[in-house]
Amino acid sequence: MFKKFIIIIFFIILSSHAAAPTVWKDGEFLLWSYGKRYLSPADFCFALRYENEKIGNPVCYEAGDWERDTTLSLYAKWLNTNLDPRLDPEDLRPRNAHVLERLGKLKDNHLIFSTIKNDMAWFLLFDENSSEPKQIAIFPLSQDSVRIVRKLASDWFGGKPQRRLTDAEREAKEKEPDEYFAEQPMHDLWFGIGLGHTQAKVPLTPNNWYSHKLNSKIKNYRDVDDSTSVWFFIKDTSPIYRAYIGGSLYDFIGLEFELRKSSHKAKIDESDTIYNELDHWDFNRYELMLALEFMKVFMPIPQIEIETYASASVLYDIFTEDIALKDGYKGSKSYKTRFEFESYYRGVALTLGLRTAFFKNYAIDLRTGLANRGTAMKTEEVIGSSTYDAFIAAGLEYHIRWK
Amino acid sequence: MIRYLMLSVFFLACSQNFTNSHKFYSSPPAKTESVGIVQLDDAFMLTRTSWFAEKLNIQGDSIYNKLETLTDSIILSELSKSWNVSAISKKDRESFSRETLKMDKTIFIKTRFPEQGVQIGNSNYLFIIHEYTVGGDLEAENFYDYTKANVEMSQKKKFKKFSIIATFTLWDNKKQIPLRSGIISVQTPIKDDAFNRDIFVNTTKQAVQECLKNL
Repeated sequence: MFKKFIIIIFFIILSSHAAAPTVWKDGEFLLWSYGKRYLSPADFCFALRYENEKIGNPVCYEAGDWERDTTLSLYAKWLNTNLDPRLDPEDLRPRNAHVLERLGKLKDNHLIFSTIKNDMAWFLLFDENSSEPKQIAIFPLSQDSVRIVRKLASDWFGGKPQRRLTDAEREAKEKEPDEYFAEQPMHDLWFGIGLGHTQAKVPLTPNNWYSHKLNSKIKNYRDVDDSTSVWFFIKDTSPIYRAYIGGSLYDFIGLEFELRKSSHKAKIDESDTIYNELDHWDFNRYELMLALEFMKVFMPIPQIEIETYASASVLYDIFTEDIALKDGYKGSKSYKTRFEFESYYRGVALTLGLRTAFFKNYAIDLRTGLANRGTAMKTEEVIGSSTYDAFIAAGLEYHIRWK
Repeated sequence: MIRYLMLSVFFLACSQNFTNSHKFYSSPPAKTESVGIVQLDDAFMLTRTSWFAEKLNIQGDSIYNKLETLTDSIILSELSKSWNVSAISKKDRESFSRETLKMDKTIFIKTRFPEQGVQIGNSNYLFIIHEYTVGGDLEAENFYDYTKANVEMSQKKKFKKFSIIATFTLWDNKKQIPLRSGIISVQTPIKDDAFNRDIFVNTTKQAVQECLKNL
């Protein structure tokens, strides 16, 4: 009694370990017996339909040619001799090449070996990829045989049935490379739009590096303490609107062209009465960036591709002024001689980014970086000879990829 | 004397023996057990035949057969001290299937096992030697560790050691499962290129004892 109990425990462990077999709609089941026939085709097919309504019309038959084949029956005899709950499926491997060959020819049929040993009914499931039994189930013979067959049917074939593949489909599937290994470096072309944020302060750096710039005010339309950075004149924080287009080769090297726009208010000294005439005074910054990108692609799961990249950009900045006086004011002399930015600024930006591609063609892009721009001229009058900012940005991209 | 002792300690230390057991294997067969000893046949491999022919004063074209027969008889008589043995003929051996058995991460041996479901003779066990290599200065790992399989060995004229390397399996003849398999190597130091039949016989006996020790 105790031995049986142990064996049942083992059965539970065994059945919980192995992955459930594929269930085919209208599947075929070969019942291979050694010794007394325990599983009848009619009973088993009835149990399959009873336990799984979606299984369709399964066909079950006795594996007569397996039972008549000398080498196969030697393996059956060997299994009967060696079956023991303490053994793993790998200990029950067939060694004879003929047995393996016959297993390989099973196609999508399920082969169920059954035998009786020590008052126990043993069931072993094989399929075409078996080098060892895929499933093992053991029941004491004292149990009701109808219940045993039903339990077997529901445990192994209770899952959602799949449509059986035609011979042509099976052939195509066999030739299909593994998804993981099918991947080879691809070429890529992308368009993206996005939003971002720019500011003069680089996170985690001391505030006092910036306080002089950020607290600066424009007096009399042009007077500031220092003019090395444009942030002495205009407010540094702004949202960024961006559009870009890029391409890469072999998932390794790429180029990206980006246009950014940000808006910055002039930092006028409100206490200065000269600004009474002023309605508003803003600057738009247009930034054109050309980036050389190096990337590395990871595929944690086949559906998702993660691309990390680093890029260095050359950039051109143009500031456009948007200024208006209140109605009725003509503009003071200072207004007419107000400061002007250079016609353009040149600089470089360093960017780190992460793209996550999904649904093949779409990707979300996150990036952050630092930029500096200045002028080629080194005279003291030049405004904004060295202007730093830090940015973060997100983008939604559409990718066209090819091999 | 001390030098000899140190030498043997040295050889003990470098001979690596690998074994592999079935889950159900607990101990070697008892003294009264019937064990079929499978004859060597193609398992016997003699390297440097001309050297052995010269040293043992046997004609070159018959040395292979003579040493194989000698080895077979030594193995049988040595094992008969431990079990109730019977010889399993070369003809039975030919029906065995050729397979590969993994001993360790990188160590594999070629095996000859009877078919599943087929009992050979009436013994409860079989003692099968898969490969039995006789030569000089042989290292077992160069034969069975695939990471060292391509090591080039220089062809020395004189040997320091007379070597026997063997792979064996204790086979459950009733259940047709390999109970315990192993690789053994035995090395006997050779002085001044001197070799005789006694060294050959004693080293063969040592090899058999080494197999028994590893069961």
